[in-house]
Amino acid sequence: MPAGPLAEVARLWSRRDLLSLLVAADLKLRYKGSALGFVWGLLNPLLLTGIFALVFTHLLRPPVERFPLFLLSALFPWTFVAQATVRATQSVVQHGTLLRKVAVPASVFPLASSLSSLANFALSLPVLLGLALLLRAPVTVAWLYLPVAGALLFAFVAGVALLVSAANVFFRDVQHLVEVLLSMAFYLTPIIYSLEMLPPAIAGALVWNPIAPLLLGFRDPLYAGAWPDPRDVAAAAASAAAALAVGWTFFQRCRPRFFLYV
Amino acid sequence: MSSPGEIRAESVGVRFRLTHERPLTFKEAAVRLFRQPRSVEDLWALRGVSVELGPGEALALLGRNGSGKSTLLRVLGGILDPTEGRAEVTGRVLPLIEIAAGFLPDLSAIENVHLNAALLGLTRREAVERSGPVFEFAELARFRDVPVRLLSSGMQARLAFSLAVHLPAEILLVDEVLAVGDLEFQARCHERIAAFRREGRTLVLVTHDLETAERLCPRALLLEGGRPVFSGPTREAAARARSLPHAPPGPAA
Repeated sequence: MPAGPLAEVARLWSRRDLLSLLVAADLKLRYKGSALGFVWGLLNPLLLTGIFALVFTHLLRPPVERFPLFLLSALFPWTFVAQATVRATQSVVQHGTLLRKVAVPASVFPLASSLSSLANFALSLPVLLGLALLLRAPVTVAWLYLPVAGALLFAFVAGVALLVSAANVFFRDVQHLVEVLLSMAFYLTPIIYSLEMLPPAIAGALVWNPIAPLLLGFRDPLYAGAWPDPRDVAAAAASAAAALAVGWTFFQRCRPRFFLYV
Repeated sequence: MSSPGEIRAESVGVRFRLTHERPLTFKEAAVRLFRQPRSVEDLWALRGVSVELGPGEALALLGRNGSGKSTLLRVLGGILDPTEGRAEVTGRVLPLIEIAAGFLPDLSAIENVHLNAALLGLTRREAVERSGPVFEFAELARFRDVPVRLLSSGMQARLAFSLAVHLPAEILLVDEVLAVGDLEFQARCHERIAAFRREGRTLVLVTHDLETAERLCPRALLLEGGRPVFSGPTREAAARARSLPHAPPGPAA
């Protein structure tokens, strides 16, 4: 069997039909038995947006204009990260019987689960765009950055998915740990606030949060109609590349021993 | 250069470390940092096994439970990397090791056929093209859109076997799946495997049924405790297998 990262990527590419069938199966099973099915993917962010809009225009009035848009333009991408991570954690273990019986590149499982979460996230984007129009946020060419932000965020998520799914094979504690870490990360990431609102000392520490620049790629264009700061773009790209490299390397190193643990 | 359908395994060994074979928790791992590492017991599930098969040849793997037959099949199928030695298989391999394991119960029969064909290496188009004959052979055409969980286990096994024998592959690795379905379906399976052989494809068959082995494979490899004890004509291997002492002292599967 050929070795090396390129050979493994080629092997994965040759199985892209399997990947797409797995994604389709995952999405189908997610909405299994519900009358509205896939519509929930759109309905869920829509209803959530309605609730936030009501609460933050009538009940609470945070000193941030267009607060629902401010919040949701970072919250939806964050939900993608959190949901994909939780779902991917189980992905390899879940398909353990298959791994013992079929010669299949194990990485298709975390990647398929990341892709199906991405599809879900994509459905929340029209809702965000609609909200931006509704709240009269500036519509500018900076919106063209959104696909780039999406690609970087997906690369980051895929890296994390590979990492946690492999780690969970050896330490089933990972699945519990992941949930705790995610709820901690939620508050350490500028989602319900922005770095400018914090005291400089704390903001200075949170600058190192690897998720923050990735989320700014959505908030800056959608909320402010502005291109993200080039430094944030560079940080986002570095964060995505690092996550993918670490996740991929770790996963491939662990892969030969999966057989004994799944 | 080897031609498609060739199998060459040289002194293959597979070692399992017994104390490492379960998921650890962080707590256990932390405790281990401070304690003496527990003695590790090595288990060679397979050792010193060589197999050489040309295109179109058939080999039966015989031996008791835990003798290493299925492990060898997994090595040949590329599912398990050998600890030592090397296994080289040329051509498309179809490992039929409890095939129904890949079925997702909530998906329909046709969706499962497509997904499993893809798992075994087919493209989506190839899978769609073959699904007609697959359902016909399994006599399940009426159940295409029924979720697999509603099919009986016999129906599931029939569907899985039918899918397997309709896939294009130069090499077929079969593990006891012939024991599925009623007598009539079994007879058709045997027929189908014989046809597979006539088409010049390579077959490795794991079975406890010595008569089946003799009928389908001229050659056999008899394993005992992970070691090869006899390799040669199936008739002779079967005779030796029958004379093996009972109550095996060997490792469990």
